[in-house]
Amino acid sequence: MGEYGLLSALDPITLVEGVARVVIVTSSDGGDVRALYQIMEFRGFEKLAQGRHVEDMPRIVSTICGFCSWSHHLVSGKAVDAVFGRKPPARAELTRILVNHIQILDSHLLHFAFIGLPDLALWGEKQRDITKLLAKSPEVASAALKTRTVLKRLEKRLVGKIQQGPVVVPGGVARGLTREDLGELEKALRDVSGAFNTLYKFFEERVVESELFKRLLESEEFTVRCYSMGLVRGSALEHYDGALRVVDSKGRVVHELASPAEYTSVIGEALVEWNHAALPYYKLAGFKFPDEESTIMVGPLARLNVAEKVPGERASWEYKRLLEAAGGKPVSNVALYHWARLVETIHSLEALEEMTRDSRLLEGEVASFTGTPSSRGVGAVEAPRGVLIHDYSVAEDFTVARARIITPTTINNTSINTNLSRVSARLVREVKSSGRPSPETVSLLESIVRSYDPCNSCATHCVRIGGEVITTSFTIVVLNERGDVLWRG
Amino acid sequence: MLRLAVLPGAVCGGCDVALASLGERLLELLKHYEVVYWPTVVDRKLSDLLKLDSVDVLIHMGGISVEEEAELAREISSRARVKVSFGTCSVYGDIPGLNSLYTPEEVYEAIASQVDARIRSERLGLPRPIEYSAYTDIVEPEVLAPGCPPDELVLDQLFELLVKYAETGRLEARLVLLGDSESLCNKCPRNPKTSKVVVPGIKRLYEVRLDENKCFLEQGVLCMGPATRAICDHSCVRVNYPCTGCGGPVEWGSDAGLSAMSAVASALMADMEKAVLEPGLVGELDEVRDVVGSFYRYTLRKSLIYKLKKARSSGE
Amino acid sequence: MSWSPRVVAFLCKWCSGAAAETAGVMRLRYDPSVTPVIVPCTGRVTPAMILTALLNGADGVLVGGCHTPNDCHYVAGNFKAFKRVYMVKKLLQQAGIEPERVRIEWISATEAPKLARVVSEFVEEIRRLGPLGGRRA
Repeated sequence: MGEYGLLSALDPITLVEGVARVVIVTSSDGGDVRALYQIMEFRGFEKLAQGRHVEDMPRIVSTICGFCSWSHHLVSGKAVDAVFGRKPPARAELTRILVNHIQILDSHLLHFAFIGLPDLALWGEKQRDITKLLAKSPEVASAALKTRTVLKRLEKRLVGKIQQGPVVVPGGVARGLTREDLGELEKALRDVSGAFNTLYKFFEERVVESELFKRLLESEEFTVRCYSMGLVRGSALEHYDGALRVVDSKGRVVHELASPAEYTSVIGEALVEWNHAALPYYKLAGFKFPDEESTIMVGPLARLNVAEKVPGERASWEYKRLLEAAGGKPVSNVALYHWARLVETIHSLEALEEMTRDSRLLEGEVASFTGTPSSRGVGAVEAPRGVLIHDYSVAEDFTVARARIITPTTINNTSINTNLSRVSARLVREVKSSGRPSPETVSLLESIVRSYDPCNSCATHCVRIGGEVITTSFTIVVLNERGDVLWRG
Repeated sequence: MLRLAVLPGAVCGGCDVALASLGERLLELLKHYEVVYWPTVVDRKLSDLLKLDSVDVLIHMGGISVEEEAELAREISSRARVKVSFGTCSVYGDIPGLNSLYTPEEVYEAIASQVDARIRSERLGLPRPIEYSAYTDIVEPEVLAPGCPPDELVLDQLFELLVKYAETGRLEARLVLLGDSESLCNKCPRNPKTSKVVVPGIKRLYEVRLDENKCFLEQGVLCMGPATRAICDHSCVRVNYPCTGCGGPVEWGSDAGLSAMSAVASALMADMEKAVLEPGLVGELDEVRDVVGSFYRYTLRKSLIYKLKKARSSGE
Repeated sequence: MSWSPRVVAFLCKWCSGAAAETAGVMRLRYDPSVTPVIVPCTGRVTPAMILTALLNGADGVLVGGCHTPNDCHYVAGNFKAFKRVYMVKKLLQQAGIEPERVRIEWISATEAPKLARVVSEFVEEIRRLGPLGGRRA
C-alpha cells in the first residue's frame, strides 16, 4: 500500500452505544479515499476469559455489553452447554427464549426511541436526540420513557437486574418462572404495546411518509450490496436457535450451516491494524476489503433478507409492507434497518404474548446434569444487532483455555465502511475547499452509522494498537497526511 | 441551571441504561441541571463540552483503557465541581480489570493468535494502549456509585444527592460511597440468622442443583455476599444466582477478594475440620481452580495482589 | 549493595511464639532475617495481613501455629489459619508469584529446635527465590 494519511473523522460518534469514530483515509495523491469505522475501547475479553471457570463465563461475558447483556449471557450459556454436553430441559429452553425476546424488545425499543426516531424525525437539526424530541413531540418522548420504565420493572422482576441479570447455569437456568412472573409479563406487554403504538404511529406519519425517507431509500450512500447472514428455523425468522444461513447480494442462498459450531467454514477474521476489532468476512469469498462483495451484513435487515417468512400475524404483515417499500428482496438500503427493527419488535411482542400462555414455562426441571463433556463448545444466537458467536475451548478442569468471540458489530464493520466510503469523497472535497465538512455531510455520516445500531462495546472486546492522540466519542477531526489537525468539530 | 456532564470511558453501555432508567426522574433532574454532554443519549458534541470552562457535576462511567480516555477524564474532571464515579468499572475497574495482571501485548496476542488473516497497513492513528485503570485510579471523585450496573438503591441515593446538591450546593461528606455500609449477608433473605454458616464443601456451578431458599455458601456454592457492600436488594440471589460481588468491598479501600477468601476459608467444613484434617480441607479448596475470577471478578484492579504484582514487575 | 531476605513471622503466643522465646533462652542460632509478630492465635492472621507484609518489604511470610488437630488454645484457630494461608498461596500462584513465599508450620512450645530449623530453612528458601520487590505501600 502507498502512503496514506488520515483525513476526516467523526470522533467520537454520538447516539451510538459505546465509543467509536469514523476515520477517512486518503492516499497521498488524494486518489483513493476510504472510510474506516474504528472502535476505540480496549477491554480484551478473549484474554480475561483464560483461566476462568467455564461455567462463570455467562455472567462474565454479559459485561461485554450493557445494552444486550443477555445476548452474550445466553449464547455463552449455549457454548457452556456444549462443553458439558448437556441439553437444557424444555422449561429451561423456553425460559431462555423468553429472555432472548425481552432482550430484543428492550434493545430495539431503546435504539428506536432514543436514537433512531430522533435521528430521522429531527433531520437537518443541529441536535437530534430525545431531549429535542421531548420539546417537539412530548407525547412521543414520554411514550419512549414509558417503555423504559415498564421494561425495567419487568427485568428486575424476572431476572433481578435491568442489565447483567443472571439467568443461565450449565444445562439450564437458575430458576423457573412462576405464574405470577407470567402475569407480570402479560401486564408489561400490554403497557409496552400501548406505548409502542404511539411510537409506531409517529414513525409511520412523520418518517415513512416524509420526503426525507423516500430520498434515503433511493440514495446510494445508504445502499450496500453484500452477503446477509442470519439464523433461520425452517425458513422463518429465528433469534435463538436455528441454522446459520448466508444469502448473496442477489438473494440466493449460498450457505446454510445446520450447526453453528461449523462457523469457521463460513466466517474468517482478519486483523487489520487500523481497528481494534478483528474483522469477520465471508471466508469463501476471501478478504477483499474494501470491495463490498466480500462483506457480510447481519442484524434486523439481514435477518429479514435470509428469512422467507416472519412468524406472527401482525409482524408478518409489517414484513410484507417493508418489502414493498424496499421494492423486494434482498433489501439493500440500510435506512430500512430502522423499519426492520420495528418488524422484529412486533414479532417479539407477539411471541412473548403467546409465551405468557405456555404452561411448559411453569413445570419441569430447570437444568440437566447429564451429558458427555468435550473440550470445546460453540454457541450462536441472534443478538438484537445480529449474529453473535462464542467459542470456548477448555482444559480438563473446565477452565477456559481459549475463547473466541465474534460480535455482530464487528461483522457489520466492513459494510458500515462501505456506506461511509460513499460519503467520504464528498467530505474530503468539502474540507479541502472550505476547511470544514458541511452539516449535511456530517448528518449523513452519523445517520449511516446509527442505522446499523452498532454496539461498539461488543465490537471492542478486542485489540488496540498504538498511534496518535485523538479523543474518544463521535466528533469530527480532520487531519492531513502528517497527522496535523486541520479542523475539529 | 447547573451543568451536568456524563463522560464515558471504556464502557459496556449498561451504566447508560441504568442512568436512563431513572425514567421520569430524569425530567425532574432536568429542572435543576442542563445535560451538556451525554453522548449515548444527547446529541451534543465533545467540542461543545471542551468549550465550557466548568461543569457542576461530572458523572464518569467506564474504565480507562486508552490514553485518550485518561486525558479526557483528567481534563473534564479538573473543570468539574463534583465528580461522580458511576458504575463498578469506574470505581473499581470491574471485569476488564481481570486483565490487570497482564501486559497490553499479552492481551493483544490472545486475539491475534486466533485470526485467519493479518493485513498490515500504514500507521493509521489509534490510541496508545495504556494499562487498564479505574477512574478512581487517576482522579479523586467526591461520590462513588458502585454496581454493575448501579441498582435501584444506589440510583435512588444518587438522585437524592443530585437534587440536594442543586438545592444547597453541598454534599454530606468529603467522600460519599453510595449503598449501605454493611455486607449483603446482613439483610439477605437466605441468612440463616440462628445458626453459623458452615460451608460443607466447594461445588462448581455445573455440579450442583441450586436450592431456591438455602444460603448459597451452605450449599457449597461460592457467594460473595459476606464481602460485598449492600448496594442492591439482593438482585441476583432473589433470582437464585449467587452474588458475584459487583458492589465491591463493604468499605472504600478494603480488599473485597481477600475478605471473601477469608470468610469462605473460615467457614469451610468448620464442623469437620478435625475429622478431615488438612488433606480433606485441601481437597475441597482445590475445587476452586480460579481464585482470581471467583473472588476478584470486579475488584482485581484495586486489590493488594495487583499492587504486589505491579510493584514486583516495576521493581525488577 | 547486596540484598538480604526479609521475612515476617506471625507466631501464636501459645505455641510457636513460646518456642521462639525458648529458642532464645536456649541460645539456639537461627537466621536473624526474621521479624516476629506475636499474635494470640494464628486464627487472627488474615490474608490481608500476609499480603500487606509482602507489599511492605517482606520477601516471605511464615505463619507458626499450634499442632493440629487438638493443640490450639482456641480450639480450631489453627485450622482457620491453614485454610486461609492455603487460599493465599493459590492466589499468589495464579498471579504468577511464588506460593513458596508463604508457609505455615505447626511448632509447639516445647519444639524450640524445630522453630530454629524451620526459620533457617525458610529464610534460605527465600534467599533462593530472591527479592520479591514489593516495596510500595
